[in-house]
Amino acid sequence: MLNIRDLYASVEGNQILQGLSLSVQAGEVHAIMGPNGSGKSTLSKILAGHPQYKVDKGSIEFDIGGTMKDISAFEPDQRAREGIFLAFQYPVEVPGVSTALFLRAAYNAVARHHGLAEMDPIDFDIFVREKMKILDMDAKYIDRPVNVDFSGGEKKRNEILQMAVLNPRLSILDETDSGLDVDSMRIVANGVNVLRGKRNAMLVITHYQRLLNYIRPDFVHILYKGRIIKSGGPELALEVENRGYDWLIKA
Amino acid sequence: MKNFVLEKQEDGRKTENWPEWLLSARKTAGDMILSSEWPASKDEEWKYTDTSFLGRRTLRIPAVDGSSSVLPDEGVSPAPDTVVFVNGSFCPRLSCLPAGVEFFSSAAGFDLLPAALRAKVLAPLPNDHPALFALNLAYFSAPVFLRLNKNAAAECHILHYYTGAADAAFFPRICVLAEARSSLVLSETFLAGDGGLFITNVADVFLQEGASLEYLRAFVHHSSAVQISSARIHQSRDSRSDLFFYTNGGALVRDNLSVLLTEPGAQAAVNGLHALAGTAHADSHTCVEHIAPDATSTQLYKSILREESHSIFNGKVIVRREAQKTSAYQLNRNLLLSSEARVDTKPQLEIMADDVRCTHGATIGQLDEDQLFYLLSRAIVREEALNMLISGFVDDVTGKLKNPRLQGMLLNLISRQALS
Repeated sequence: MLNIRDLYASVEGNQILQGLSLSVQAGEVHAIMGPNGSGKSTLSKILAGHPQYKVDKGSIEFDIGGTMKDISAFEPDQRAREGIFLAFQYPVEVPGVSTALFLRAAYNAVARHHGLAEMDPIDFDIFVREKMKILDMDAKYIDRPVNVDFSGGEKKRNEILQMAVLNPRLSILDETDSGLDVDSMRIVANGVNVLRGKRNAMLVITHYQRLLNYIRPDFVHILYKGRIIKSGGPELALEVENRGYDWLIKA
Repeated sequence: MKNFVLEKQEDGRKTENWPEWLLSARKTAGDMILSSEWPASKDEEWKYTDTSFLGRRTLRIPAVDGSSSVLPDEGVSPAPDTVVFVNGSFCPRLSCLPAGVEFFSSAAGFDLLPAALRAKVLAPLPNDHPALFALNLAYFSAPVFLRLNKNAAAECHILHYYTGAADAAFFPRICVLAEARSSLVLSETFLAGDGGLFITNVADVFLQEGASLEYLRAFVHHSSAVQISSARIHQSRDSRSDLFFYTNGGALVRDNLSVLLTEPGAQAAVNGLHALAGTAHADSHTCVEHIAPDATSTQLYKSILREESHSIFNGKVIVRREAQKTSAYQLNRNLLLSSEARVDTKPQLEIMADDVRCTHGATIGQLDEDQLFYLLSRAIVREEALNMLISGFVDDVTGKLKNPRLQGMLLNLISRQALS
């Protein structure tokens, strides 16, 4: 579904990713771990198409209608309509735009692209309330401006709510565990697990192993200096938990 | 200001029923404008809005009578409480006169003003140019006068259409007397087509004890039209006003708004929105005067600027020595959507009392790139995302109008403009 080949990418003239390769198939969950500054957030932003992040070399191929296509030149909204979703590490506040309006605009943009029926506000309200129950979110948030006056945990839940609404094929969770207490993390992870399926894949980017106790990955990759230096199964994450990153870096 | 030409000498400007006090003031005003110049940028209050170019144009003053033939006769069913003027003439067949209020479409109604209030409608506003104020006084012909009796409640929506009259000048005027504890929902919408039209209008509203007013003024014009307006709200004890000003700027729009909180307990919410594009120019001068203690005022003016448009906000809050326990708030926020657009903002506080709570501020900014990326990353197409952010920027100010009909009118004007 996703094939990243020898990717070099930079932000504001600093090359962060340096020859990263990664292949993800439908139904798989991959964890990306690494010390601070290794390029984890850059990977998430470059996949989502952030305008400040540039591909210098290599390719990002994504399955569109059964064909692998290089999406490096795609606009962020185009990628999202094709099924790529980034759960932000720091969700953005959008004053004056209600969460309901925002979610429905997002849902309908994807529906329209795939030739499916758009939802009117009443149908959408029923639909989104069902999704909010999975995340144990209070229905009051639906009428509030996007992320404004949400606590850290509420913002993260709102990210997973958006993921549930859009039902993407590839979800990238960028440090979704940061700033979450154990209870919130369990709820968020539960939401993510409900969305796991044979047709979609996930990239779980995290600094710590603890989130992976709740969202169990099929593969774990260690990112360092902009490239993957080691890949393995879930046991690799536990090893990092016990031994840190030093032994990998020195190896 | 000698560049006005009466289209017909002895035109339809019939003055037989006019109050004597108004006629004599009118004559003085007529003499004054002949010896006055158009305000120009050397005048501090007109620093960013130079009107001297108007002095080089010949402006026709068309005959105004009681009927208009511009619009079709049949198939028109007027909305309730709606008063329509076309090119300055009252159109009875397009109007459905407001219920619950005494309505006049002539100056005869001005005689209902108590003697003590008459001088007030003849004096220029503090932020006004005396000659421009005199211009309306000298030439207005089909004014609206409304009186609400004690405890009455009414709605009145006034629509001014200007069309097919090149280089014409119009002088609409309104005066409202809202007696004690009455309540009025009022709107004045001015829509001018092409042809370089010039409008200068004056509004005076008296809110007596405990009266309340919700008032939308909207100027939506062709890019050649000029409107210079003066609106003044005189507030007595425990009265409340909720004011909203909206414009797309036309060629030049200047609004002078004066709110006089003359007795304790008066409250005013003064809000506005400039939504400008092209070479539109909108200049709002507000002056809120706290004359008595225990009064409250809030102001929120916003502007959205596209292309080469220019928005000016000059907001003055004056707190007189007697006006202790005043609470006054003022904020002006501007969203620049183009590097060619320009904003000049000047919030001013003049506080003579010592026990007051006053805050003011101004911001100028652009669309937030992180917010835009966030919306795009949720599949929303760029055009829609930009519109959502722009609507988000104005959401708090447009939400200040509580009356559903006024809010509907405003949102309709905003969205119509966004499409054009």
